[in-house]
Amino acid sequence: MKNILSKYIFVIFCLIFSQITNAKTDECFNCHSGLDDSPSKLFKNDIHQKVGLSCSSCHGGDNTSDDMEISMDKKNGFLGIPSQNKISEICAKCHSDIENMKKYRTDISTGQLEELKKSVHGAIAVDGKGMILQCTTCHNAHGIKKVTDSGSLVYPTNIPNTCNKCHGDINYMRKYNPGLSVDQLAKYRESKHGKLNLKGNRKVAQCASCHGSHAVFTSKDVRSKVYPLNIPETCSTCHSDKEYMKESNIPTDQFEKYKKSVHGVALFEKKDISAPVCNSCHGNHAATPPGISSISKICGTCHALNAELFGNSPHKKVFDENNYPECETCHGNHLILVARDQLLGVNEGAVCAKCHTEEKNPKGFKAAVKMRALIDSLVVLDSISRRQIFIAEQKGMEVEEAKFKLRDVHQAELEARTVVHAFDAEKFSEIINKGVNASNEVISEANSQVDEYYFRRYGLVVAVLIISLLALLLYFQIKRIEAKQNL
Amino acid sequence: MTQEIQKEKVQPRRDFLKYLLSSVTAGFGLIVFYPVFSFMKPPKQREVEVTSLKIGNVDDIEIGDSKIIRFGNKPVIVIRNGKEDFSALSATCTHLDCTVQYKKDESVIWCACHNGKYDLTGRNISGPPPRPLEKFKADVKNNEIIISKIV
Repeated sequence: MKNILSKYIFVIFCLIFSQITNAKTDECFNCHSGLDDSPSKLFKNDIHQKVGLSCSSCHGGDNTSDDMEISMDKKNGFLGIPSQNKISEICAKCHSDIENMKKYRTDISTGQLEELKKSVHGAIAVDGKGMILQCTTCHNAHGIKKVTDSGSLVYPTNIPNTCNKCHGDINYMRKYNPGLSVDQLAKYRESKHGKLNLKGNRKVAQCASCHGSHAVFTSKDVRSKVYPLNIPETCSTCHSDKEYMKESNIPTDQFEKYKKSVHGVALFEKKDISAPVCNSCHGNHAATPPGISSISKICGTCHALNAELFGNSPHKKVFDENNYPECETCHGNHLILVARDQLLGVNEGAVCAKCHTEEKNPKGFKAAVKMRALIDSLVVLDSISRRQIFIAEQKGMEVEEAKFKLRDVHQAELEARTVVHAFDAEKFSEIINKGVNASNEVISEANSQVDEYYFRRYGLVVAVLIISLLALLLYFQIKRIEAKQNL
Repeated sequence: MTQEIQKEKVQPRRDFLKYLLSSVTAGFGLIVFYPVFSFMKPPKQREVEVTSLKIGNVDDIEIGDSKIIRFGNKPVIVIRNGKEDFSALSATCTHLDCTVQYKKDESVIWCACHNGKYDLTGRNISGPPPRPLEKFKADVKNNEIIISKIV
């Protein structure tokens, strides 16, 4: 029994001794700590030091020897201070090795260097010596902390400042992208995201949330998370997640609504990248919901004429006084559907009656009824015109003239739908009348072609009758001449 | 006697046949010549497939002014930039097919429907138009403006 116990004590002693001797064998760190230099000071709190790596893991050499000649001998693999791409390659030696990284965390990503190489930061730097960015540019060389450690340069609340080291430096940025603004951080700090981030909220979006961390691409690159086609999904990563957004007290159905909207259909189905996406209305770095009075200005960046007409209309003053969100009151926000004529008037589906009830506002009510009747009449005339053209065309008649005139009817419809934003029944009638007149001309032209068709058709019948009768009469005449000759 | 009575009976029938024959022959002439004359009369609409068109004299458009002409079944806007410098572009907006117009004060081609704007080379520069306007060739020969399709 005594023997067994003494054996155990010996084994434990050996283990403790071996740990002590192992720790003491990192002679690089021992010596540099003695020098009290910055790298060794930072390395004391480095995650790599905590998991047992030594200076020689990156710098090479023999860390067991306290003789500088031996430990820093190139024969022993000493690299010195790695530069340019060598830096990232040294990091990738471990970080791109799945088996090696599994020792620390099973869910750790190992494709960072490959992603960096493909990214905009992986392009060759102006000095031509390597990539624009190396791992150490964002993570630092010594004193690297876990991403979840608030001391890390890439901890969510620190990322904006880390990116800003380059992106806020005009002299640096003009070497790569002189057109890119360098005030993103200032703008970000004005946004809802930026303000919360500054307060220490690590859940709100920061640079990497939207642009990615290693695979960062320019906004014109289809692979980018901020390429117009990808922006709604990028924003919805957080904004459609009820659990993630529960503290923010804002809806999470924006993306679902947007997908069904006229803008979402244009973007996702027609792949029209000029269609507005989240940042077109909310801004990007300074993202914040637009104020009530500025909505028409924001919609007006694309719908300029509508916004101008609305701005000069009697509605502008009333909307401002009552704090009604301008365009949004009639068209909605995320779920903006195609504005059909049914929106106008007082019937079901119309929006005017929301305010213009027959009892409280009979003038507006009547104007809405009248305007709806006018546009409806033009639409009916348009369809009659098209039908008459079709009938004449089916009969093989020439209708190009009528078709050319039909353009004016179409134009009047479109102009009326724009001018409706002036909420001026007279102006509206003027345009409708233009269309009605053009439509009447089209119908008359098409009808005259149909009449011409029937004239030709009946003319043919008459001609056949005349020719037959002529033949018959000639027969009788010949008979008469023959009878005369026989007498 | 019987022969005389027979002659009297036959005479009006023969006259009737004669009149009828003359009338029907005249009708026949009408049905032959009506289409001939109708064919000789030029049709109301111009040819649909037009490749080149004389639109009038140089002086018909003032310098810095414009005119919308019909080129086949399409409107074309002709702008006089200088003495003998004309540019011609399709006048159909590439957004929703409205007819565009020249806005002299802004030096742009403008669409009244949705405020779409094009520069004087037809490039879409503002508003909803997704594409530039189609270009046409504008030449001056013997003081006449000739617009033709670019093949």
